[in-house]
Amino acid sequence: MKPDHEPARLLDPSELRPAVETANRLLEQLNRMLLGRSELHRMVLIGILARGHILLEGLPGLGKTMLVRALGQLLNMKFTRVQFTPDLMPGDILGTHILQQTSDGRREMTFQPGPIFTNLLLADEINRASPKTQSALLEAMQERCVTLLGATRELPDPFFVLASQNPIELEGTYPLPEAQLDRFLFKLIVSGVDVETLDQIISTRRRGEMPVPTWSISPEQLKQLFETMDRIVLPRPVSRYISRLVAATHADSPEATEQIRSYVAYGASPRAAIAIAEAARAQALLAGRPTVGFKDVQTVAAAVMNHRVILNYKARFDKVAPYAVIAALIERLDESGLNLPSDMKVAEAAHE
Amino acid sequence: MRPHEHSIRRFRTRVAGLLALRYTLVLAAVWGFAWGLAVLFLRAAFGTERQPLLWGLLGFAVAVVAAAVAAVRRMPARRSVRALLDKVSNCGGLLMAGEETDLGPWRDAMPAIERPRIIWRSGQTWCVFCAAAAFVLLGFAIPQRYVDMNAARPPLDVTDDVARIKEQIELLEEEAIIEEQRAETLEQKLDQTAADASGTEPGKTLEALDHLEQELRKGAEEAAEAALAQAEQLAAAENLAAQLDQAAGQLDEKDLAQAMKELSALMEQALSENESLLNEALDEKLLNACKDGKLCQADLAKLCKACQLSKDQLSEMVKKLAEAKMIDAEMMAKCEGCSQCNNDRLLAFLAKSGMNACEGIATGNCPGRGAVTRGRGDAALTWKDPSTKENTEFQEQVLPPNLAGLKDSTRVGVSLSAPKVEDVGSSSGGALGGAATGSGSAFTAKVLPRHKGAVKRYFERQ
Repeated sequence: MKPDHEPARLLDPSELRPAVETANRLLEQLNRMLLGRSELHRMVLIGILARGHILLEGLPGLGKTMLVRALGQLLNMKFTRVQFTPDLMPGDILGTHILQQTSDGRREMTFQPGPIFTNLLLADEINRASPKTQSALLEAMQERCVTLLGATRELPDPFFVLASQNPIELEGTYPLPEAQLDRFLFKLIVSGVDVETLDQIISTRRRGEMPVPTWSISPEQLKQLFETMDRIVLPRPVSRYISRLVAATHADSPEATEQIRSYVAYGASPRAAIAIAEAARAQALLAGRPTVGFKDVQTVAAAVMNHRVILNYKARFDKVAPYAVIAALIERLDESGLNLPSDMKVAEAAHE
Repeated sequence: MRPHEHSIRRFRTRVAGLLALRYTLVLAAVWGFAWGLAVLFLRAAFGTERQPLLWGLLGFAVAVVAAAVAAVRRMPARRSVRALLDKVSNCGGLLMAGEETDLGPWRDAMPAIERPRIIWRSGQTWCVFCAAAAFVLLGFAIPQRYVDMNAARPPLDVTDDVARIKEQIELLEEEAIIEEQRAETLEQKLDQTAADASGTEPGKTLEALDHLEQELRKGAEEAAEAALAQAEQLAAAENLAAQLDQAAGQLDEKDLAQAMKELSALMEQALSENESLLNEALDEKLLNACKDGKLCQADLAKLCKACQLSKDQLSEMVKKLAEAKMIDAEMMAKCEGCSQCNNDRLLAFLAKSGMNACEGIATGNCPGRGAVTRGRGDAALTWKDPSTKENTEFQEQVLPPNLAGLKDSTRVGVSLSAPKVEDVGSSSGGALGGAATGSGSAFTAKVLPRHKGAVKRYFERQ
């Protein structure tokens, strides 16, 4: 039987190196501009490299907007910010047709693009907009195009949505529906910074303004980065592991943990498996490898699945978070699939 | 061979070995428990010797083979082992990708392959195996006397009962009360019951013996009743024959012929019921005369003797049954009295036969049963059941309950005038009939003149 795909040729180190350097330089710049969140920056960069949309959740004043702005500057992309409010209409984002008089005196309907026609869209406080406005983003996020009055218009390439939402002050907000949450590659929790970072911020940043980047990526470099990303090899055992991981988030799966059987109402979708694979590729690229390993998957799996796994009321009563459930699953699931008896386990030993 | 291929092969071999050992222990433990159980059962139930049971050792060989097969089937795939080595060696997918594509220059950049160890928490498995082995050894080591269920049964001595019942069966067979085949069946049942006798369930054995004995007793009682009826019949015939012999000259020809005819009928009936009994006592000529109804005056003495002999035989049989305690004293007494003359029946028989003139024959030796209207003056008086003492003895009476309060009464004075009779109306039943409703009600029974006698008796007892 002929295999579905030809075995991919591994990137030569010389081919991989420029992309790795570019990616790491991006990360370095980001860390330089924004202090104390290297892990968050790494995950955001992974999301960008995987061409995914990112949902940032955190309290006000933690630098979510600043992060997106910095990213826009570094990526040298067109950056737009939309502050979502309850009275925001879909047309305010997507654009609208307006009546205009042409030079020859005729009047015709002309499309006026909305702020979504950009490379990097910051949807600030996305949960404050009405569901109607939120759903206007569905097609744009998945298909990367906008359809208005029967005409479909492509969005600029690349197109990223980085949305932020506030976990408190939920009065007057509209929680994102599952369909829309599923379109975000990552949901990243933006937590507070430690004392040292705060000290560093207030002593080196006047009025909290971030420094101007010393370097930004060119469109050619970004294109090369994406091309390199596409050539990162995902070995079969790793893809198998991703599949098992996503399948195990369903309560009826034979590999589901006891916690999942108790607390999970709906498991992750196939889109989650695709997202993990792409994000793991980006992680491998940042690590300077042409192949994806199990640890790459484990690094990104929680961020990919935590907003896709829907917990039941019992989990809310027991104050169990999706992160804990997924972490327990990653800890429990045997990556290699050796299927050893329960009283046998593998321990690391000496080098060969 | 590349180093990682070598590692993969070694790891798989090691896992297979451990799996084989694990499955061997598990299967051997399962077999050990089953074998030990079988050993104990066979030794306990059938007293099987130890040596043939050692064939069970072959089960361990089967377990080893089965474990090896299971281990090979359960052995991890090469791809899985490669993935494991990739993980533990931090190869980041390079080792796994090497299976699908050429690593090229990355082969040199690949970290050194680590050989992971397999940790098997085998304590529980070994414990179960050792327990199974100990169980098997125990099954073999226990002395036979401790496991033999038959030996362990406490004995139940029913020898005397069995001997007694056997004697009873033999007696019934000897007296032709039961057939030989039936006797044999009963003896077999008796032997089986004796063999199954166990102290663990004595009731079962004793109940079976009781059942057998009751069955025999029932047969004996039926035989005794039949013998009683037969003896009575023979006694009637003997009596009639004796009386006819005595009164030969007093009867006319016609009555004599009719009496002889009736005697023949009696004998014929007796013969039809138990011919073998009379065959021994009667000679052929007399037997034919009885059968043909041609008895004559000269045969009467012989007939009396034959009837007496037959009765003696029946009496002897009943006596044996009584000695064997197969019939009770009442039946024995009935049988003993059956041979005595019963002239009432003879009289009734003669009256029925229209031979009123023969009354003298019937009353010849027994003038009557006493009293004014029962026979002649020389007849002995007979007494029946004594009169009962019913309604002749004093019977105590219990006073009505409403007089119980008199015990606590006190005398407040004595009046010489006649007591005033009050109309108390119709009395109602119950001790609290006169009590008023509501709390604090007291017992207010009134003593009436008609209670005078009872009150007097009460104080007399004091």
